[in-house]
Parts: sequence; C-alpha cells; structure tokens
Amino acid sequence: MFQSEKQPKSINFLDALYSPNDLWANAYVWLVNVGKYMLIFVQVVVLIVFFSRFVLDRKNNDLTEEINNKVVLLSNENWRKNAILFDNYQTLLLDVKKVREGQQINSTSVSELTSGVPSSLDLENFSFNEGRVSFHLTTSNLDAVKNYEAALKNNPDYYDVKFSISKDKTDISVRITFNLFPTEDK
Amino acid sequence: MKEKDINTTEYIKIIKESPEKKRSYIFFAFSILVMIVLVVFAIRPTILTITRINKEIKEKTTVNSLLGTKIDTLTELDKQYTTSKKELNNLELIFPADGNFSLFMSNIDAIVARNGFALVSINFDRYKGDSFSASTKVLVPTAVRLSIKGRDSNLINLLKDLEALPMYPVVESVSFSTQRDRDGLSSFSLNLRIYNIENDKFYK
Repeated sequence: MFQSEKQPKSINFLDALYSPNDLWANAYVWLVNVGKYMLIFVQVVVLIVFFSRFVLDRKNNDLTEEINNKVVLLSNENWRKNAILFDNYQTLLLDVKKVREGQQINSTSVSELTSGVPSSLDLENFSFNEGRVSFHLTTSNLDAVKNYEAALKNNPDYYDVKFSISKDKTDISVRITFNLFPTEDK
Repeated sequence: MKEKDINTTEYIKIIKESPEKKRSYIFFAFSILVMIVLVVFAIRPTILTITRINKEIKEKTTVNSLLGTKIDTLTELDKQYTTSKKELNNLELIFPADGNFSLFMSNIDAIVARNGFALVSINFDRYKGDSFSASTKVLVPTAVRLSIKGRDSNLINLLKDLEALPMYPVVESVSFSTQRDRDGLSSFSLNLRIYNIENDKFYK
C-alpha cells in the first residue's frame, strides 16, 4: 500500500522555472536585467536636465527683471533728456575740435600779402576771396613791378599768377591776380 | 528514458539555438530602439531648449552690462555737467541753435571799435562758399558780411582779433580800396564764416 513508484533522480538545468514561451515573464527578466539600468540612466538625465532648466530659467528671469528695471530707469523723462543733452554736447565738442584744428586762418595770409607789397608800389585796391587774391597797384618804377612779379611767380605758395600792366604817361598801373595754395596742399 | 538519449552535442545545440536567446536579442534591440526614441524625442528637445536659454542668457548679460555701463556713464556725466554747467551753457551763446548771434554781435561791435573802425552794416546769410570742408555733424556754417570804415593800417589787427573769437570765425574774403573819404577813412568789406546749429531744441 505505501509502496510507491520509484522516480528518476535528475535536475534539468536547461529548462527555467517559467515557460520559455511566456512573454510577460521574459519582459520581467528584461526589465530586471536591462530596463532598470536604462530607466536609471533616463531618470538621471531627466534630473540633470530638470535642475539645469530650473537654474537657467531662474537666471534668465533674474536677468530679464534686471534689464526691465534698468530700462524703466533709463526711460525716465529726466534720464532721457539728460542722455540726449549729453550726447548733443559730445557731438558738438567733437565738431568744435574738428573746426578748431581743421580750418585755415586767413588773417595771417592777408597780413603776409599786404605787407609783402614793396614800398615803391602803391596799393590801390586789394581783394582776397577764398584763396583768390587780386591787387591793383600803381607806381612809376617799372623795375619794382618786375621784381615783384618775379617774387610772386617764384613763391611756391602761389599759383596761376597773372600780371596786367598798363602805362599812362609816367604812371604804371598793375593788376595782379593769383591763387593761394590751401594749407594742406602745400 | 528519453533524456538519456540526448548527448552533449545536442545540449550545446539546444543552448545555442534556444528560443530564449532569440528573445534576449529581440529585447536588446527593443532597448536600443527605446533609447533612441527617448534621445530623439525627449532629451534632444530639452537640450535644445537649454541651449536656447543659454544663448538668451548670454545676450541678456551683454544687454544688461551695456545698460549698466550707460547708467554709470550718465551718472558720471551728470556729475561733470553739474560742475561745468556754466561753461557748457556758454556754448549756447557761442554756437547758437536758434539763430541768436547776440554774443557774436556784441563781440564784433567791441572789436571793431577797439581797432578804430566803425561798423556800417552787418548781414547774416546762408553760407554758399566752397572753403568749408570739415565733416561736422551739428555745426553748420553761416556767412556774415561786414561793412566797416577805418584805416587800412589797422586792418590786420582787426582780422586777427576777429579770428581769435571763441566761435572760431574765418575771414573768407576781404576787399578794400585805399581811396579815402572826407574823414580820411577807407571802406572795407569783410565776409566771415561762423557756425551755428540748425536745431532749436539742441540745448534743451
């Protein structure tokens, strides 16, 4: 009655506890072996990204707020007026510097021209107009006229020197025209 | 027994070609696919957003710094303006923005009289000469024609005094005749170039 059939003693290592065809069981194995690492990786990345965005967004918002405050300050009527006024003064002072350093002073040229007329020649008319000079002189000394003509023609500061001489009895009338080289062209 | 019939070679064959192994390959491929999907659709947009925010922060930092510099400069200029307000206000008289040449007129009158000349007439006109070549932004040349009477021996001093005025006038043309009137005075015609500003709100 208590006699039982003798069972063979063997362990089958090839067959798993679950059935090889069970999909859910395989998914579980995959989740435990591979998926968990992937999930951990993804969670780490998500955490890093979350904290990065948190920090960056906060920094971005702080900067925006700071910029807005400064813009509001600069939009104030007094600040705006002052900014325009100071800008105008800056431009004006630069212009004044350009004018002061760039323009040619003509009083010196006129002084040289009028004082350069020899005493033997009488100055009747003088005209200086933007570098164009004309003289009307009278004399009785032709040599003085010749010397003056040579002096003007040999002067490197003058060009296009023209002499017109007419004689009436003993009086010699001389009309001279020439141009001055601008200072920067010398 | 049936198991006893399977030899070692057959066991190895079973291990190598087991459906278990095939399934593990499939799950590995699935894992890679899921990772790719995550990278493309979840991590990449977030990284792009972070990059964009970073760029925004960089730009905003520059703007913020420039605004800060502007505020500092304006504060400093305000201090300087307060200390030099009197001198700067004189610029309004030297280079008028409203065509009011009152300072120039009073100076001309004084200089002409000091050099023994009499002012006959003075005219202001739009400058039409070619001598002005400076590339100024706000200063605009204006022509002034002076008609005076006096002695030609004083002319050069007069011209020098005129060109020494703070408004930097330039003698553009001079013409005179040595013929004298009953009082022994000659007539002189002078053209000056002075500067003004064509914006009446320039100093406001």
